[in-house]
Amino acid sequence: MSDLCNPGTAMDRRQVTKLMVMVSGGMALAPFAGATAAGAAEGFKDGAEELLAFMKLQSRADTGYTNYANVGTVYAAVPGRAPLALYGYEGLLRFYTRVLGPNHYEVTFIEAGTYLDLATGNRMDSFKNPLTGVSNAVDHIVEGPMSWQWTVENLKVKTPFPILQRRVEWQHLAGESWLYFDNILTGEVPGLPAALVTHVGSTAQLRDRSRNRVDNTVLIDSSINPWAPWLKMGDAPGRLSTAVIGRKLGSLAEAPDRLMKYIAASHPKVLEGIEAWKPAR
Amino acid sequence: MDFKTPTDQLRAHARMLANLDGSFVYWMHFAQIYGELPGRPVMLLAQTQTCAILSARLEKNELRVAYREAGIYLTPDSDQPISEYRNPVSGKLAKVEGSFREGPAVYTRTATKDMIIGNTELDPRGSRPMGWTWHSSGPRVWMINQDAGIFVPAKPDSENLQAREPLGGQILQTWHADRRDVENAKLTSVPSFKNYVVTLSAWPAWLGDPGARGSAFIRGMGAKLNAQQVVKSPEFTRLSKIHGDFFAQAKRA
Repeated sequence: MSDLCNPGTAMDRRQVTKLMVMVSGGMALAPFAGATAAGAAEGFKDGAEELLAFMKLQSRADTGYTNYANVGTVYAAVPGRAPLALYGYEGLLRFYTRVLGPNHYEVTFIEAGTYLDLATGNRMDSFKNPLTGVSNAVDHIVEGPMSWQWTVENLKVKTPFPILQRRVEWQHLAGESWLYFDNILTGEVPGLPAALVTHVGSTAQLRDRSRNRVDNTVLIDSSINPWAPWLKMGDAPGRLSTAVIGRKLGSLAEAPDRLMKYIAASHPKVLEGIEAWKPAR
Repeated sequence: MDFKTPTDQLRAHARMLANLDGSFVYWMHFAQIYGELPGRPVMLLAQTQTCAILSARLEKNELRVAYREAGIYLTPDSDQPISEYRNPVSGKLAKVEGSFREGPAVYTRTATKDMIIGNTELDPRGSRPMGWTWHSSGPRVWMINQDAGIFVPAKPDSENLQAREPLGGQILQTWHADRRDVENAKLTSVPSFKNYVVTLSAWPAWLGDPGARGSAFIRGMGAKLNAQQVVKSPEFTRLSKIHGDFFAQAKRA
């Protein structure tokens, strides 16, 4: 998933981040050039209402933190073979939202997590890659911080432009709202990842004008990524796919103890305020 | 969730999926079909809107599900049905059937074995029987299950994807419902929702030859509706204009 533009999870995409920053000229904080004019969207009277809903469902529409506890599985997809579950994932995804003005937000994210042995559920230090038969040292995740801005104009980039095709679609059915948020790299970038994230939450809370956030949003990350470098797959055909769900937490205290202990020991700044989040690169 | 036995878990799933009083339930689905070809970006090929009708019976440790579904293909960037399609690789324009039907079919799932789909065989490699994980988020409970393997079509062209060879596939489904409903054993049907990703090792044949070995995946959501809800649904009204006979037949079956 591309963390330049997509506040989902940060599975195996550090190399993608670097590439995207490179190809976008480091313009992560600027609205995307080439954005289409935003208009009325599915179930919303106009682009401003859709942007507000996007912020409320995904993170929040006022200044403050949003925390997700993510858990899932990473699969290998090799042409001609059934998808193969490789390892599990457990991570903490944090957003800091800042309201810059009417219909204008800045969101900064940071994420830390670990890959898990499927059999034991425990953090792996090494992983025997079933596709190569070779054991590799595991490169766990710490991503960000990275910031971007959301406006009515840059929420949707429907027309492909050299770097990115973005798709924001909604479904509202039987009291639940689904936000499809897809970002697909279309430029001359190796690996060609696609960040496919769905957020699901209460339609009533989304419509409630007195609320700045939807509680208990769940994100579902179905992203496609190139082989993680630490798997040492070389030019082998295939890619990784993720199946991760993340729970929007009421507070950090609701995060799993094991995960919090790991992050406190390995990446303590992630648990501090945004002032402590220093760029990792 | 605290399930004492695999059968308890299967029963919870069955109540989320269907209605154990034997009546029909309807799953309204929306999905996107993405295509993958070596060295190219992932392509959004089409969207689908589908209504599945299913009934289920749970006896002892076995859940038996009868289902059929009908739907339409929509263009990638609108809710308009597809009548012709330009192959994204060859550029050739072709007339396509803008609607599809599946079933009737039956599958069974037990508390201890893999899913068995009526007209296919499922290779257990890669599949984890009852390897379901449950998570809580506020008042909701979420469950993830996966089925993966090599699907061997019983006869050529029996699937929409017209696989000419064994099809590597994976179905990842994320179900959610109100925890109180799931825990209320008196409810034979729990209002539920799902998200799913179906990964296939073949390029959709109806799109024409991509000129290279491709694959596809389908990503979508679904909401479970009862008969009263479905008839009020504009989506069902739309599908009924095309598939009215199919839905009527399904209810008689």
